[in-house]
Amino acid sequence: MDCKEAENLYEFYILGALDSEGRDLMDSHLETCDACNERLQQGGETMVRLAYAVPQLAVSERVQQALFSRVDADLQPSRRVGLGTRLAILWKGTGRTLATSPGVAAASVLLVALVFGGLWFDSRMNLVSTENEALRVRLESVNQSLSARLESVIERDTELVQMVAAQQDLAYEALRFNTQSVSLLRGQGTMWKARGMMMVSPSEPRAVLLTVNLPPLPDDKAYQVWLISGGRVYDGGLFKVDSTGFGKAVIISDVPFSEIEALGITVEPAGGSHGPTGANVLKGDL
Amino acid sequence: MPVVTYEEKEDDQLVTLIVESDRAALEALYGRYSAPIFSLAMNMLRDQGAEEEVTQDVFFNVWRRASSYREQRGKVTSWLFSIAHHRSIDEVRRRRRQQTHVQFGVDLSNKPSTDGVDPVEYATSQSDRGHLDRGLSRLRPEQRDVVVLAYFKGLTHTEIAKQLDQPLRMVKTRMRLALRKMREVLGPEVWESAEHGL
Repeated sequence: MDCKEAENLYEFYILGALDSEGRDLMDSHLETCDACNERLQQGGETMVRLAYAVPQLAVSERVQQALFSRVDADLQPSRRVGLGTRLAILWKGTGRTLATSPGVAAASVLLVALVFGGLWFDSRMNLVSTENEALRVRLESVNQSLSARLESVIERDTELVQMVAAQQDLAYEALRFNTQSVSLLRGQGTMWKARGMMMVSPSEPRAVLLTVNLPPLPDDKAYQVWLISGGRVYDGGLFKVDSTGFGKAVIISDVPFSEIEALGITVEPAGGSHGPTGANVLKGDL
Repeated sequence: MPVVTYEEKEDDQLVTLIVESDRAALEALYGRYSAPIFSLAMNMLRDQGAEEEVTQDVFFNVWRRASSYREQRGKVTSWLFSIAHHRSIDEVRRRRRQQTHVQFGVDLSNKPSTDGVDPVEYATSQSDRGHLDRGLSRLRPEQRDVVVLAYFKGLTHTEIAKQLDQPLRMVKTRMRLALRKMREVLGPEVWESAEHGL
């Protein structure tokens, strides 16, 4: 990759929008090109600020423990004296004696062979020991990581089962109404567990809205429905949910439902707002 | 001469020490940046186990590849967060390849995800969810879309162009304008409030 090709990819690289191959090519180019590195500096700093802009959370101590177990295992082999170094030290001491006496030389050769064999064996044992320790630490780290993930999966499974039950409740309610069309709504952001359904009446300009898993709001707040048509936003009314998170409302629209493109629900002051101001909790396309 | 503790050393000094296998230097760097890196991964992955693994991998990567950092590439934070972001994106893309939309016999995806222009979110002009929404809400919707799809959702530039049904050069232009705008709106106070828990 040359600088001209790299320059074409700056924005994609900064925002992480290159595929693996493109990223590797860019990284290789940046290893050696100071000019491109300087041009990317501002973008890199902006991305750091963007990372800091997300809600900040604390890290569990087990992450640090697992990390430094790996680091310690990685450090172990470099603290051992290598076999070559040991042989060099031994040779210095015996080399001079071998030159002066054949008998001594022969005995020395035998001694060296025995020592060499012992050293080699010792070194192999050390290596096996070290490898075992590194494996043990790595296994422990993986085990900890898997346990955390398993807990997360179990929690998620429980929530999904509850969501399925809530959707079954919604389906039962829907069957009780004579409807022209049914639209499903999905929870947004932290309300990802919420679900909704809007059923348009075939004969009257109204629809019934059902929601589950929305948290009850304090007295000074209410959920407000917004109907989107042709880029404009229309007030669809206010509603509250009961203590189980179940909500029901009748929507009467000034605009025919056939022209409504999307629906959204936000959290607003108890008396309602002229336009959406609060967090978006449910939305769906009609 | 007063002794400078690891916590008082500059980032580039810590990286130099890490190149020499200084464990305490890595501890100091970890103490400084593990939380924002973990938070970034959490924002992208929404899975505590995966985020912890990503955070661990990032710093172990730093341990192994500290010698690859060069001052010409900018600050240590830019280099470090680039590693973290790339690692998180790799995980997002890996999951996307494996993801199934039907579980327990119920279609939880409702409709194919169309994370492009969202009429309700476009109409919602204000939100009280911190610096991120304030920063992104200052972008034009088409600029915000490309930032969210690329930086947080891990789509490649060709995938973004396809999803938004826009030519690649338009996506590039929007990204450039978005980066310029974010540089203005995400000032140093973002760092300060993150450090002080505001």
